Amino acid sequence: MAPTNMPAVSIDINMFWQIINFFILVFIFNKYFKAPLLRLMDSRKEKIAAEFSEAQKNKEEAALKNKEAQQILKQAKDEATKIVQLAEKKADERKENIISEASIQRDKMLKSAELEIQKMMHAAKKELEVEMNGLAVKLAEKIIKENLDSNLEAALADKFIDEVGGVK
Amino acid sequence: MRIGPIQFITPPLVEGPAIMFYVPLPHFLHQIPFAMEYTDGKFGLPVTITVISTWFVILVLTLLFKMGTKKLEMIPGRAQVVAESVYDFLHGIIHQMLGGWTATYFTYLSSLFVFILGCNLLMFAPIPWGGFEDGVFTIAPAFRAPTADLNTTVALAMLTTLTFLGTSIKLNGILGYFKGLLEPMPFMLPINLVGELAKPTNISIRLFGNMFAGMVIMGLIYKAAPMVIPAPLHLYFDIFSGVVQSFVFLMLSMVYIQGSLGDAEYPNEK
Repeated sequence: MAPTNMPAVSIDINMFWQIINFFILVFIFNKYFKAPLLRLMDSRKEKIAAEFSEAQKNKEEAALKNKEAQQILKQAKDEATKIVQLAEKKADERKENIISEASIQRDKMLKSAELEIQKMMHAAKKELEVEMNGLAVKLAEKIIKENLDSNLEAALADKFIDEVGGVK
Repeated sequence: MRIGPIQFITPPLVEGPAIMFYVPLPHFLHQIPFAMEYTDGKFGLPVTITVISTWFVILVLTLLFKMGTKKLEMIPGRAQVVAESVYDFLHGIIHQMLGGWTATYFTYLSSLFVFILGCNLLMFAPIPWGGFEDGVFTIAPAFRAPTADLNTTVALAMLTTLTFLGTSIKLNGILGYFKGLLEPMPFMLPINLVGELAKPTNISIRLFGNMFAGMVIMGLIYKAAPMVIPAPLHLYFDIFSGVVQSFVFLMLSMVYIQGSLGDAEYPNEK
């Protein structure tokens, strides 16, 4: 069949064909382009949303853990200060003990030293007395020897003896 | 142009679309005289080069869609990135205009744009078709831009008109729509009617005029200077003009739909 020409500018049966063609294209566009892409985008959206919420959850969990860790740290610090305080207290006590012991010892030593001094003083006094007595006896002998004859000096001897006696 | 036994046919100028074949009518329609008259008395519906070209465009688009959505993955491959970019682009411009109504009109407007764009760009990559006649091998473009046929553009404009009329009537009721024609004053009715008629005329004749004129000019230039000059002009008449006109068609359709939506409450977006 030889091709016959339709008029160039006219509205004819072609319009009907073109409407049908367009509807075919709409169908194809919907089925092979829009629907799969829409499905994919929806699933991607869901996935991203799920991941996002999971991230949010993880973040919250991390914040909770952080809080817990902070608490534990605080507790540890408290304990450490307690221990330090206790140690300080103990050290103080010990210091006091040591000091008091030392002072007691010192007192003891002082007392014993005093006692010794007293003893020594007594001893020295006794020695002196003995020596004095000897000296006095010697002097007396001498004086008596010399002044037995001289009555003048008898008074002097008396005075001397008095003086020696006064020393005691 | 003829080189030896091979004849090259230039694109047709103002010849109408040639009838390729007839689709036979079902028998019961033979009894109706009007149908017989309309089908050229040959008991069939004529299928012209315009329709064949449209089928080819639909085939190519289907293959592209299939290629873009063959292996859909969360982390997209190359073809999928292109497909998603196209989807995002269409969704972006439609959402910009219609907002919460996007979901309702997305399929229609997107396929309209893709369809017109495919039809307009068809002539940029002409597919040659050869045939023997009287010992001469003739080579001619196999297809003809479907949008350079008034039937295509009028069909699409009618669908757009139905869409925005349907929206208007759905939102305001039939009475509300006719009352809207009397706004702002009753004597404005003729002007409003002309305005309503202008909408489909505007988009259909604009697209048809651009594409048809481009085709005629290209044909004339092919006749005058067949070798060198026409090639770069395809860039303007097929690509630039084609893309711009398909975009304009989409934009005007959206404007008309938006106009018919009026102050209607926007549906809640997800």
